[in-house]
Amino acid sequence: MDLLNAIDDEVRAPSPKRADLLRLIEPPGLSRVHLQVHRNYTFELIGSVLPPFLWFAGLKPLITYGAYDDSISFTRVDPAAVQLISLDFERYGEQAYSVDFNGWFASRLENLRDKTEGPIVVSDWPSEVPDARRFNLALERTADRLPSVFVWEISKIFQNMPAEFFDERAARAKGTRLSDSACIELARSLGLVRLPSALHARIKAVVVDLDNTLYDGVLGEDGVEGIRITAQHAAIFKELLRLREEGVFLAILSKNDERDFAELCLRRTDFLLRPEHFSASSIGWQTKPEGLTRIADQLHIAADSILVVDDNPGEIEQIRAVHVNTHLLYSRSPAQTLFWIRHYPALNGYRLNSATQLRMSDLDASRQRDLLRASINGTGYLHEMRIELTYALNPMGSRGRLAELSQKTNQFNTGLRRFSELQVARRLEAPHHCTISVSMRDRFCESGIIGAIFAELDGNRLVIDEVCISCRALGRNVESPMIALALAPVIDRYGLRDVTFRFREGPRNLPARMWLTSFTGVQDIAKEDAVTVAWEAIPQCNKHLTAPIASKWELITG
Amino acid sequence: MGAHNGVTRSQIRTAVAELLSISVGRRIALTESVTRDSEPTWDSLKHVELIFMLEEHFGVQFSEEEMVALRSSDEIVHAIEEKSAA
Repeated sequence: MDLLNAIDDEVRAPSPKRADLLRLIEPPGLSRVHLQVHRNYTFELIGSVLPPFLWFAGLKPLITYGAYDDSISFTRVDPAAVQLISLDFERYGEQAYSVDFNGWFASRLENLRDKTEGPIVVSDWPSEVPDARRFNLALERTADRLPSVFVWEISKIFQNMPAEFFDERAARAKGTRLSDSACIELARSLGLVRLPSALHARIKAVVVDLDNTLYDGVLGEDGVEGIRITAQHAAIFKELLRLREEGVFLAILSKNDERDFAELCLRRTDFLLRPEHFSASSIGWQTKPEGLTRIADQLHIAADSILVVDDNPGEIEQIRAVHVNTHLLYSRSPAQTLFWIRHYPALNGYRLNSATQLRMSDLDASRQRDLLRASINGTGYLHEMRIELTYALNPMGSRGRLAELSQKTNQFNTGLRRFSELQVARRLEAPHHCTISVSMRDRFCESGIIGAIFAELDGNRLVIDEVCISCRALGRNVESPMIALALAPVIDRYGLRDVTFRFREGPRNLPARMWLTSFTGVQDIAKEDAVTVAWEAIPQCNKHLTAPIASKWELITG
Repeated sequence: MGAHNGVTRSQIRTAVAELLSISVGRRIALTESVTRDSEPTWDSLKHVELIFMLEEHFGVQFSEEEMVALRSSDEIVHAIEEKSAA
């Protein structure tokens, strides 16, 4: 990451220069990503400056190009590669302005979707004409409908630089109407935001320091009135609040006096962040790595899904020594912090789903649940919680959330399978497969879809490739009833006798192993195993099925 | 050693050699005269990139005809000298 700090200036410059970007030295330890480009113009002028931006996402691109192809026939595709379609729509002339064109383009995307496994990224139409805007809306709808298809909104970059975006001079010799500065801006948006968000799970929390990060000055020395909040700090506050609206937790990690922070919030109206905006905090004199551990525990997330923003390079290194995979942003200036909060890979560019808005309220509710648990024991607690589970079998509309659960769950996942949205969609449609989503609500809040079971029928047994339950739903002692109530109707419906759970040990899925041992009664589960038990022989199965939990099925297909 | 708009021929030569080195992926010496025909990696894409970098560095613009006509480091230095003098 030190090498990345060294190239930070070039990458986030207001107008990065091609020569500066091409001079940069590639850092070690990057993962290779194959990007297959389908285009009808010289995308190479974007592709050549893409690598430095992707390095920040830990990626090294291998970019391959086919022939220039207005018909986007996709004759030769690598099924595993990331597919990128970027077209100059003006080349289609009048045709591009017809409704038929939208339909034709959607059918080409469907064709590519059928041929490949990886994400598909497709650029929209950068133009002010109303037909282009209509086309872009239709493209959004198509991308929503198809799994793992993402729109790269270059129309927004065009809106930010309408006068400089195109440079018709020498367009024939260049093979594109795009200007050099547009090519570089496009590479920056693709490399920092669009591709990482198509490839990586989203960062779950942004943890910020206070002094010289959210304002200029030291609260303990300069006092509440002495610290300086600039327009750029105000812009940082707004970006943090936007992220919070999108479901990213905010937290404070600061060596300060908590009373000073409370006074800051009370007396400085220009400090737009309020204590209630932060879902966790560690304000005090413990070390930063200890504070980060506390915050991760409070948020029920792993430290490697957190971005820490701090102005102290020594403390950044302390955190790195303990939490090796935590994302770290050394905040050297408000402008730099603002840029990276807007562009940090895997933080921006994500679609919102039903789970996003529920995350904040669920965390607040978990504190109330803890209080209730402390006051009541056993089934009394379950009664008082008034838990309601809603199951759906093969719910295609929830494929994005099911893939997210499969990819993000680290503690309660039995098979450690990581299904992409496309793989989930294919399982949902495949014969002899059943995928069950589990939604939960209790007296404190609606949690949305918090569980998924991926299974297939094999003769008279149900083979369960994966059970994953969000950490938001853990700690309520409902895992066994939740899974038993999901499986019982399937066992019944297909007249099955046995259940096989595929298990694979990972770095953090001990809770899943412990549950599997308790649920099946099988003690010696190997690191990679298939645990088969007769359904009737599952210990306490009846007790699970009669737990004081309301349950219903809302969608049964297949 | 002519000087044009504060840019000397030597400075132009140095910058062209450096930008050309970035484009073709090998170090081009100041005294070296390179042509598109003699440099296998100086393809049409690298040429457009080189033009972009020259335009940005010297604050000049090349027409389509000029872009196509420039086929050696000496021609590039000469063209920039002329544009800088204009």
